[in-house]
Amino acid sequence: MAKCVIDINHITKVFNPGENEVRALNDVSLKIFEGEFVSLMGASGSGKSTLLNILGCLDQPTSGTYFLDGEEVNGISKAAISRIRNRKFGFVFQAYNLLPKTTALENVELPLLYNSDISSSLRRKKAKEALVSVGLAKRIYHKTNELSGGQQQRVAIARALVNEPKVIFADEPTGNLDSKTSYQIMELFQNLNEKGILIVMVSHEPDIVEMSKRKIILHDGKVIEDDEIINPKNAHELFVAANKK
Amino acid sequence: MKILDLLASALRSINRNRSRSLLTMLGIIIGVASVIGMLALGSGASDSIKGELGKLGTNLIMIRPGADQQRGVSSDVTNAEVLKETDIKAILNLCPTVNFISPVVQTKSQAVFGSNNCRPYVTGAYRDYFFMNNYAIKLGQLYDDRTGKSLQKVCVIGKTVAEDLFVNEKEAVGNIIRIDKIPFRIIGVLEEKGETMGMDGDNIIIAPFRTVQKRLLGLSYVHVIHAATKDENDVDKAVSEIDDVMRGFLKKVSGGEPQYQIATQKEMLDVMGTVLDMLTLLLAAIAGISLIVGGIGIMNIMLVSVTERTREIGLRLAVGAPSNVILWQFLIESIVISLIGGIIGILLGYALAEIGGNVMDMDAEVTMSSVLMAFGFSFMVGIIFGFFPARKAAKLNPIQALRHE
Ligand SMILES: Nc1ncnc2c1ncn2[C@@H]1O[C@H](COP(=O)(O)OP(=O)(O)OP(=O)(O)O)[C@@H](O)[C@H]1O
Ligand SMILES: [Mg+2]
Repeated sequence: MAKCVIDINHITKVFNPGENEVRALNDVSLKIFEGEFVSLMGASGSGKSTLLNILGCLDQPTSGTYFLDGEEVNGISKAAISRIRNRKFGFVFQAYNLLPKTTALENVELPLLYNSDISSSLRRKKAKEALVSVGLAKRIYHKTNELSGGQQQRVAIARALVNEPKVIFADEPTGNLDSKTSYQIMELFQNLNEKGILIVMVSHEPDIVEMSKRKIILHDGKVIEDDEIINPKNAHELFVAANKK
Repeated sequence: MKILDLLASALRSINRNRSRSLLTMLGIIIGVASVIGMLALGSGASDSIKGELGKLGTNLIMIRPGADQQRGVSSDVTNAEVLKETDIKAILNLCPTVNFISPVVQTKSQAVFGSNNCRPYVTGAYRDYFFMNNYAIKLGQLYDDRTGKSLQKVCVIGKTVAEDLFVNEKEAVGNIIRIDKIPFRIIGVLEEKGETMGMDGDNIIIAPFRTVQKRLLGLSYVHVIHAATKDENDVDKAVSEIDDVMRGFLKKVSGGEPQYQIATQKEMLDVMGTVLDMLTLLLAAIAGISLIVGGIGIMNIMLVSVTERTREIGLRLAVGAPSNVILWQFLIESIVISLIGGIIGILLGYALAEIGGNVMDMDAEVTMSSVLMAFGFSFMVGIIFGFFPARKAAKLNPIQALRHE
């Protein structure tokens, strides 16, 4: 059986305790294993992003425990958490979040900048490789504002890849893109997943979710459904089909 | 993240917002330039004034009637007639360090030649007066009144008087002018002294002591006594010798209080120097305030920059930047901004000193210490005023920062 990477137990997250209290997560327990491709679904405000942020160690739960690779996250220092995000995780956001007025290359180099084990020449090399792997070989030195939405999201994915992460967290990565471009992005994710990277993605588009391997549905901060997707759709085939129309 | 990467990232960020960075630097630039310029011009002015005063003779000792002002106002012991010509001999005989001495009387009178006239200061003094006060003869000669016997109606005139009364100063020697209706023959014209602190040093006539004292003024006493030593280092000794003679042998005391004051040119120079140095410092301090204002400008812009770049900071934190690295990133950026500003300011300060020195016709030299001080100060400004915004950035929560609009 595959190794358990993420193991959360009875996680709750309460915003604004006291008055105007929002219980964004209410007793959520989950196990996610190596090699999985998980989609988080649910209505707006159901707590998807909150859960993803906690899983990605960007936020701390109000209560409950989180074991990452068998190690409890709650107790460790801020610096150690930064290090985990820097070495083990990659993040992709709906709004791309690229640095303005900088080149694709500089954006992709960013996570490695905070890893002092990596020399500047190696940093450059790895960033170029990551850009090539997302199909942006010809856009390495372009400024980010000269790129299309899909290209920008691919830069963001290259940035998430560059540190060879164990897990990629993606919050609505196709939310701002048309369906054809979305398929291309999903194809990238499927390829990465093939190579063994665990992917946790938030999406509310059913056809996108059908390309992942597991679907978790949240409602009012609770998990109401958790199903394996028997036959995930192949993003590349969908893209080719869409092009034929 | 290595320090070089931090520096490179700071430079890139400054370069990305070039015009804003320049405006931010402006306060520092102006502050540093004015501190450096002020210090250079101030010390230049101070040096040039000290130089001018030095020309008046640094060995000079002046004895005046009147109680020492430091002991308060005591008008009953003040007697304008306390100094006599006979005192001269006693001082010269009893004070071994005194080499030159002359009684001095002075008045402002009208001098007339033909249809021209002017109002110079007319001084009556012995021949030593010229040496003590660094007067040199340019045309003609000096009168030969060493001992004060002379009642000759001759005089030596300054350049201004020569120009006022004659078409050409060369014509002056040998002519008779009238000073308060009394005819005097001009026997010499003095070298130009120039202006000293707004006073025309050439609007003068100098004549034998008794001629002026008796014929022009009708006095029996002396206004001032000028004495001088051969060696500058003997001045203090001479002062105490003179004081002893005045007190003991000449008994110029009334109710235990001396009726005279002794002042030296050196003292005046020292006082003047202190005042000038203080003025220079004051100017530099005022200029320094603009450095602080510049620092507040940096803080303001850095705060704006932190707010503007909140999403960027959030992203950096999300991809694993430790918060102390974020702190350093912003701190280094503000230090780099103020150091660049400082360097531009130093160059501008040099230019200011150069131009100001040329305009005011003096040597305004920028000192290494003021450059180092300005550099250090702008470094401090960068740290102090950059710290608060940098800490604000470092304390951001990554998710909230990423959501920031
Ligand atoms: N920082 C916050 N402060 C207060 N309330 C918050 C905060 N973040 C999220 N919430 C609340 O928590 C709940 C869950 O928010 P979350 O962002 O996880 O929803 P979501 O499922 O991602 O929705 P969407 O599909 O619209 O992105 C919402 O009711 C939201 O208002
Ligand atoms: Mg969301």
